[in-house]
Amino acid sequence: MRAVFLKELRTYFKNPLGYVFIGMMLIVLGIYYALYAMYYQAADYYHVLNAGSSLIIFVIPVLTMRIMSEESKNKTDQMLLTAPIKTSGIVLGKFFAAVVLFLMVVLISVIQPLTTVFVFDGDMSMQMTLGAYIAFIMLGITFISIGMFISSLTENQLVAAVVTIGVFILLNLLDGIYTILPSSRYFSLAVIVVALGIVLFLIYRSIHELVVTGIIGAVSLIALVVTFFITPESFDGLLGTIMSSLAVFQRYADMFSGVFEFGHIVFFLSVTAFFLFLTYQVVEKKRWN
Amino acid sequence: MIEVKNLTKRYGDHLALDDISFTVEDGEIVGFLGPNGAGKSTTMNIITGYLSSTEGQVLVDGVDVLEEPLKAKAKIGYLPEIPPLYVDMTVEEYLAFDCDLKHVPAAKKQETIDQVSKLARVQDVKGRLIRNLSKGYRQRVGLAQALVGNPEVLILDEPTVGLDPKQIIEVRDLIKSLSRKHTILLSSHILQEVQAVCDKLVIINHGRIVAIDTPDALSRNILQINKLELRVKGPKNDVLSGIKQIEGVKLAEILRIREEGTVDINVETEEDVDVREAIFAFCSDNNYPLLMMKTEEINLEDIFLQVTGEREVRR
Repeated sequence: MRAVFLKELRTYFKNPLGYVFIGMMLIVLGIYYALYAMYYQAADYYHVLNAGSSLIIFVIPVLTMRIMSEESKNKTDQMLLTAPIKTSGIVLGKFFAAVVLFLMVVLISVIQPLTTVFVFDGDMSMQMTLGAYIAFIMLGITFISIGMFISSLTENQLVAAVVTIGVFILLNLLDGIYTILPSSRYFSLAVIVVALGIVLFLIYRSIHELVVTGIIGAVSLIALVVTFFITPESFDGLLGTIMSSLAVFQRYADMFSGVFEFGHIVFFLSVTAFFLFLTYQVVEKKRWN
Repeated sequence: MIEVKNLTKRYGDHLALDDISFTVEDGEIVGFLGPNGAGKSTTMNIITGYLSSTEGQVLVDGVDVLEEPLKAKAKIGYLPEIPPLYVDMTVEEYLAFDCDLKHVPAAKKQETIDQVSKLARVQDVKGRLIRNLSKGYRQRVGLAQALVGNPEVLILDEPTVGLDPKQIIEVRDLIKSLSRKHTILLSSHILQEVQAVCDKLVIINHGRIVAIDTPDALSRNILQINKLELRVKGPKNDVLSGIKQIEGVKLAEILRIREEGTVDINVETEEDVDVREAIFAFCSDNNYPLLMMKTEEINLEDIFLQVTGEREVRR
C-alpha cells in the first residue's frame, strides 16, 4: 500500500491535475471567504464551507477521474496486479493519496478562519467552525470514494469525470426528489419490484446461471409479497424514507446546524467503505471476465 | 518451475484457451510461439496472476498462483505485451517504484536499479522522462522492470517487438545470459526469433497447443526444399525455359529483375525432390553465373501445416 500511496501522491504533483485541483478549491473558497467575511461581514466560517459544498461536486471529479481509469487505459494495472501486493493495498493506497491531497487543501484553507479571528478580531463560534470542517472533510472523503468507484468502471477519464459530476448532482437533488414522490404503498412496491429486477439482471450478467438467478429472484419476490400482505402499512412512504436516509447532502446540512451527531459520521464512513469495497470488487472482477 | 495444467479460458462464448498443459523446467528457456490472437498473452496473463483461468491450474515453483498469489507473484518478473510504463516518471523513478512494489529493501534499492538498468542497457536514459523515450527504449525499460527483484521466473511477452535488428540481437544475447540464473518463458510470432535462444518450443494456435518440441526437431521436419528463389545472370527467356526443363520442376516463373542482365526466378518442385544440384549443373553447363539460390523462409504457417497435417490453416 505504501508504494502505491507514495507513487500516487507524487503523480498529483507531476502532472497539472494536482495543481488544478488545489488551485480550483482555493480560488473558490477564497472568493466565498471574501464574499462572506469581507462583504457580508459574517465572521462565522461555516458559511464559506457550506457554500463550498457545491464546489466539491465539480472539483472532486478532477481528482478522481483518472485514479483508476488511467491505469487500465495505459495497461499499467498489469504491473500493479502482477506485483506481490494485495489488490486492497492498491485501492487503499490510491484512495488515501487522494484524501491526503484533499486534506492539504483543507489545511491551507484554515488560514482563512485564523485570519478572521486573529487579524480582524472576528467573533467566531469555534464549535460551529469545527463541525463545519468535519462535515466538509466527511463529504469530501465520501465523494472521493464514489468518484474512485466510477473511475474504476471505465478506461475513459472524461466519461469518468462526467458520470461522477452527474452522480453528485443527482445526490444533491435527491433531497428535493423524495418529497414529491407519491407515498402510496403500491407505488413503493412497484418501484422495489423494478429495482429487484435490475439487481437480478446484474446478478445474471455476472454469474451466467439462470437457475440460481431464478431461485434468488423467486425467493426475494415471495418474501416481498408476503411482507406486503402481513404489514402493508410498512410500505407507506417507504421510498421517501429510503431515499431520505441516503440523502448525503441532507446529512451534510444537518452537521452544519451545529449539532454534532455521531450517526452522521458513521454514515459517511460507511458509504466510503462501501464504495471502496465496490472498487476493490471491480478491480478483482476484471480478471474473471 | 512452471507447471501449466489443463488451462481453459472463456470470454463469454469465445474460447480463448482450450485445455492447455505444458511445463517449463528449471533454467530452461521456452519459446511460446503462435500467430496473433492464438492465446499467448492470455496464457501469460494467467501465469502471472493478472487474469484468472476458467478452469485449470498454474503452479510456479510448486505454488498455486490463485491460492497463494503474493507468494507466486514474488517469484515472477513479467514484461507484458505493452510495457506497463508510467510516462510521467523518469526511468530511475519508475524503477524505484518497482523496487517498492516488489519489496526490495531500501538499502539494496540503488544497487538493484543500477544492476537492472545495466542489464537492460538503459543507464544512459535513467534521468529522462519515459514519455520522451523511443519505442525501443520503452521496451527495454519494461525489460528492466521485469528484472527488478531478481525473480526466479521471467515471463516475457514479445520482448523484441519494436526493437531494431541490432537491439534484437542484444536482447537475444541478454536473454541467453539471463537463462543461467532464471527460468524463462518468452513468446513470439516469429519463428526465427525464438529458434535462436530457446531450448523448447510450445506452439499454440486458436487456443490449443499444436506441438511441443525442440527447435531443431521442429525445423528438421519442415526444411523446405521444394520452393526456391534463384538469381541467374543470363538472357531471361533462355534461363527460364532451361530451368523449366529440369526434371522435377513443377513451376518456374520470373519474379522480378533486380540487377541489369540478371533474372530472379521462383521455382517450385514436386514433393520430396531436390533439384538444387540439377539447377547448379544447368547454370554451369550454359555458363550462366548463379548469383543466388535460397529456399523459401520457414514461417509459422508452414509449421502449422506440418504439425497439424492440415492443408489450410483455419482462420
